[in-house]
Amino acid sequence: MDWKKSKNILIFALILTNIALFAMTGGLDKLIQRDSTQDPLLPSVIALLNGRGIGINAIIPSIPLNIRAIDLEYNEIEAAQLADKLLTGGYEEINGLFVGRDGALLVVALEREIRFELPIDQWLVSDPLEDEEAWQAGEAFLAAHGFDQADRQRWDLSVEPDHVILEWRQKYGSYFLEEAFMRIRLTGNKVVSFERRWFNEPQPQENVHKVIQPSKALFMAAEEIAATSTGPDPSVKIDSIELGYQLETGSLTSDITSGEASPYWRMRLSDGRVIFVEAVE
Amino acid sequence: MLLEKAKSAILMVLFAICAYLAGQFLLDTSSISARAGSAGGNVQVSVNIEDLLNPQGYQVSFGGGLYSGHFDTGLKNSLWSSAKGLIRGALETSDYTEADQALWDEAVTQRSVTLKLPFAMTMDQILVAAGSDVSRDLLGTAAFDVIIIPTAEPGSVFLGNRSEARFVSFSYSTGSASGAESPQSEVLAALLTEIEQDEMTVEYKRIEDTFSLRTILEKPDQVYRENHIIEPIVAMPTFEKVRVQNEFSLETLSEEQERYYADIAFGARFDFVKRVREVDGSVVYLYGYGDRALRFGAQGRLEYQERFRGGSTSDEILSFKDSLTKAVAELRKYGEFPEGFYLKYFTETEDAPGVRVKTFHFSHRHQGLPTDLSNREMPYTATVEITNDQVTYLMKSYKDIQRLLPAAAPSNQILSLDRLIESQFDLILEDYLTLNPEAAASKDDFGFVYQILHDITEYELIYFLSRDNNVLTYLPAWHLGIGGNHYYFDLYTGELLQRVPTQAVK
Repeated sequence: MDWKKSKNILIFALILTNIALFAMTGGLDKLIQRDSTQDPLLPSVIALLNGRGIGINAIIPSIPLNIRAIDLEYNEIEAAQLADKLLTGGYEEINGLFVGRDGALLVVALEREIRFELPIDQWLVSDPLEDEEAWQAGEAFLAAHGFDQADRQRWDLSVEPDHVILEWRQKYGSYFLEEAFMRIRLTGNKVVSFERRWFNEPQPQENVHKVIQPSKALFMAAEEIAATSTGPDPSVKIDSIELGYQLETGSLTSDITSGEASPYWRMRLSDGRVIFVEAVE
Repeated sequence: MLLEKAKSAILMVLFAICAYLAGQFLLDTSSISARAGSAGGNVQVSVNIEDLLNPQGYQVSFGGGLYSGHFDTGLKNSLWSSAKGLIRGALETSDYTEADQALWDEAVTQRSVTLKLPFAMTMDQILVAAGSDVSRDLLGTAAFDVIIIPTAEPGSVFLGNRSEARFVSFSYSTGSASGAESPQSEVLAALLTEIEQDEMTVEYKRIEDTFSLRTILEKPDQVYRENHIIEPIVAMPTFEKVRVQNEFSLETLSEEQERYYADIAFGARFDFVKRVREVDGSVVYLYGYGDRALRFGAQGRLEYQERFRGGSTSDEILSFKDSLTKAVAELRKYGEFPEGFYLKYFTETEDAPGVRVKTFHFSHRHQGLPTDLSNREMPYTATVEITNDQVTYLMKSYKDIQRLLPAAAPSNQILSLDRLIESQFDLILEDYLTLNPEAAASKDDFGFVYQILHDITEYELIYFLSRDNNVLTYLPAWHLGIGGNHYYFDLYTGELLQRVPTQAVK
């Protein structure tokens, strides 16, 4: 009889202890977080931004709680090999500058940044291509020279009176990778200049960083949008909000070739500005 | 009965959950305490700033035209410690009088001790160096690079700024009540006598006197300015070459070495530290979003940088003394100072209203001789920057001593000044004429060489760092400054090691 009673008391005591321990180890927080798939502050932040003339055109990502650390390394370019491919008519090398027989120039800066340009007398005089045709012409050039990596995304197309500039940026899964780009200038359907800086396949690391919610990122971006605003009309729209990586730079760093990237929120504005917000507290 | 069995099972399950949760809880708390304990968990080492802030040149005048300018460390320490007391006595309380060039010249040539400061210091800074707790801004921002203590006049101290030709003298009565001389000036006078009588003392004369420059150059209608640079007139001891190496090289930098310094810079909070590599092989650790950075650069150069957290509550601007103490304590965390470490140069700027940046540049001496790192971009052994009360930048580039190279053969004498100038005359002449085109007219004149001798601004023994094919060697050398140029000559062969224009020399 006594044993039965003490069993009841023990069960009761252990239940209480477990509840206390569960609360102390942050189990409650985890439960609450699991429940909220929506950022609770988002509506009020959007209202606040609207009040400041900042509209939102973008799909706001559902909260990604964590982001994995990744290592990035710039794709190294063998300048002479590239010269063989791009300057097919033969070339001369002068202190790292490759000059084609036809006057085309090629430089590979810091073994990773390609700058290739045809002389202006070889530019075609014709109307710019339609957008989709231009993209196709650019992508054909990339494919022909082995730069058609699948991890690229079309970023920007700008039309000038006599040429079109195309720009691709790099992505890693759904994340963007900053400071990697390919830029092509087209006159008619002819590529007259090409620039490229690209990362090798990113290497995921073990540690995982907790990311601030999009509402907070938007709130912090509002300050910077106001600070960098140039025109008299501060109203602007946020066209996209994405999470991704960027190699950190500072006054002690120069010419980084590889390293662990920092997570950022990136926002593109309708007036062409791009705002970055530190994504980890 | 069945109920009892179920109860037992529940009991066991509950116990298991309890054990698991308790384990989790312990893990959480231990990691929190580990973090709390290690943030900035660096050993605090106290360093006496007076060891780093002291004169870097000593010159003793015995009176009658004889000097000495080369002493061992023990002797220098004795000279400085007795001089400190006299400086404190004079500068703490008494008033000053402006002195003219003639009075200054007299002070240099009479029996006295001349102390050359590493940089022009304000009165306040001189007091800090002399170990005084008194702060006085009697002379405002006026700065002085030479102190002269004549032993014939106890209680008298001269401060001079050679480039501005401003001189002041302090004079305080030394215990007039008792009528006795202050014991410190007696000590100094006794030291002087001891040095004078020591057979090992290297005797010097002023270039002025050796070549009788006044007789040759003085013109009736001009005020003749004396030059007080001295040169040894007897044999000097021999100096060895020393092979040294950087503390680390980018080729062999190991992860342990990186982590050792990164732990000092960031504490053990390593959860958001990123490592990046640069084109030249340099490695940078970045904390957070670049708020703090630690860089392992070429030539064994270690740099740390921290973003200034302006506007915080602790926005106090530290004094010179407190800033130096803080700078030195921070630097000391990154390793012991090299032998003969001293503060060589100091600047203070105002970046923004209420934001003052104090920069301390350190150098070191090898066997008592100053070292010249022969690198105009980074001429200092270490640099620390204090913004208000925060360390915002730190750089160190120490050299490890490897071995002494065999000394020069005994027959190899140190080149004397006249032989040095004779062997390098073409070079010196050309430079001199470039800077003083008007002198070309008198180029063939007899007095021309003497004019060059008169324009010597610097003549000292140093260790010069040569970087031959990445093999680093301290070479004993003459540092000769003439007019607008500084030359570094091998002490024994007279070979030109480096030549730099004055503006580049700090």
